Amino acid sequence: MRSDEAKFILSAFRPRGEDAGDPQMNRALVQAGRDPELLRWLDEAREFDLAVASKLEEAMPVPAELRTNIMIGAQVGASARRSLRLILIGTAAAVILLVGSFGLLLRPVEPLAGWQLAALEVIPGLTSGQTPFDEQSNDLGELQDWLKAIKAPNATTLPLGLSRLGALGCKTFSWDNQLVSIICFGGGKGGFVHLVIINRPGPPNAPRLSSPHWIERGDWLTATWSSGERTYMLAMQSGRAALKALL
Amino acid sequence: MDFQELVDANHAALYRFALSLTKTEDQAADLVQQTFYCWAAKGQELRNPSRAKSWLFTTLYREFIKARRHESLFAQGDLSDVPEAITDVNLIPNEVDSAAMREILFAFEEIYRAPLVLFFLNQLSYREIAEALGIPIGTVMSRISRGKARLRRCLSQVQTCCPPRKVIPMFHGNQPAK
Repeated sequence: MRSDEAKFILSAFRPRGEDAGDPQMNRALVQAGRDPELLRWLDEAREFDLAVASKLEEAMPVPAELRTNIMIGAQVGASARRSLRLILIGTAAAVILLVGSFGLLLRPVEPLAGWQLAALEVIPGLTSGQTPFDEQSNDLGELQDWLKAIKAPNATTLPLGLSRLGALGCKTFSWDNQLVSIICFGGGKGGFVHLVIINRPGPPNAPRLSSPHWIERGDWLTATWSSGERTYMLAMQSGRAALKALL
Repeated sequence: MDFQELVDANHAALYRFALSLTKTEDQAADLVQQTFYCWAAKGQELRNPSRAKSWLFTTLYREFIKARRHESLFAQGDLSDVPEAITDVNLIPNEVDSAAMREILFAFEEIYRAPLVLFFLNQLSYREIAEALGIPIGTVMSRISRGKARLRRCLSQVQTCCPPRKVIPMFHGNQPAK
């Protein structure tokens, strides 16, 4: 191999040596070992390549939220695909359930408060990525600090199970002139979990965290309890067992 | 390798490659998300898991081409003003600020920019770059070689003409309300 040929090939040689095992690169490296001028050129070229790579990395910072958005997007996509596969099974099951649901229709539907219904309207946009989080972080402490900084309702005591999940982000909205906070978590067995908080004390006989008030609304299962000056709702589109495991 | 590991290992390099193609942060992030969505939908069918990285870069580039096809035809670059001979390396670009480096590289035609950025990202071999971009190995080598020669020339001009600039950091994500 001539030195000019070797130089052409070695232009594509990665500077940390990853390509040393490649047969073509290997032949060019052998030639460089025989030609001191070519070897000097290669050393300088590798130094140049490393410097450019480092500058480019610095010039193209990766958005902090990208990783989280990818994970959310994949989970939402997977859920949609699962739904498609389950359509046939679901149709069959629906026929059976329809018969049973006549019985359920006779039971009174327990109401959710306005702020809870409003939160359930906001949450799907957050999980699909259509509504941006106000603050995005995997660190729950950071989210709590942020809520505190803007004087939004904050969780003073968290259900134990939630601390094992990864936080995704939080969102606040105004309902009836009151701020409501939503903290979203991922990684639960049943998918996303959402903690909704409002600064509103419950009545004297309000349910406590140890025995929350369970209400089903559409796809949602919610658990509501009060503690001190705050009322909390944990919402999840999954079974009671998954949600109960978090409390 | 599970999905989370795959994302952790590759999302940063994929984003930088996407940014070099689209030149805008939002489009780059969309492209990376679309790539991982494709993986979640079809990537598991890949027989050889060691080729996952190459698959992701190939898919990202194909998704970029697909999106671009709707907009306009590619302008084919012409580097006829670049000398064929490989120039000697006589400078190290430490004096050039990173924003200027990005500006110079982003000004290159896409057919040169893509292989060059993939090379500098250090993730793929020249053979894998050829596969990702769908071009012959010899063409990849030629474009890397000529692209680097051009980069050196541009950098030497920046170094002699322009003082280093201050870079204003760009914020990503939402900031707390002030």
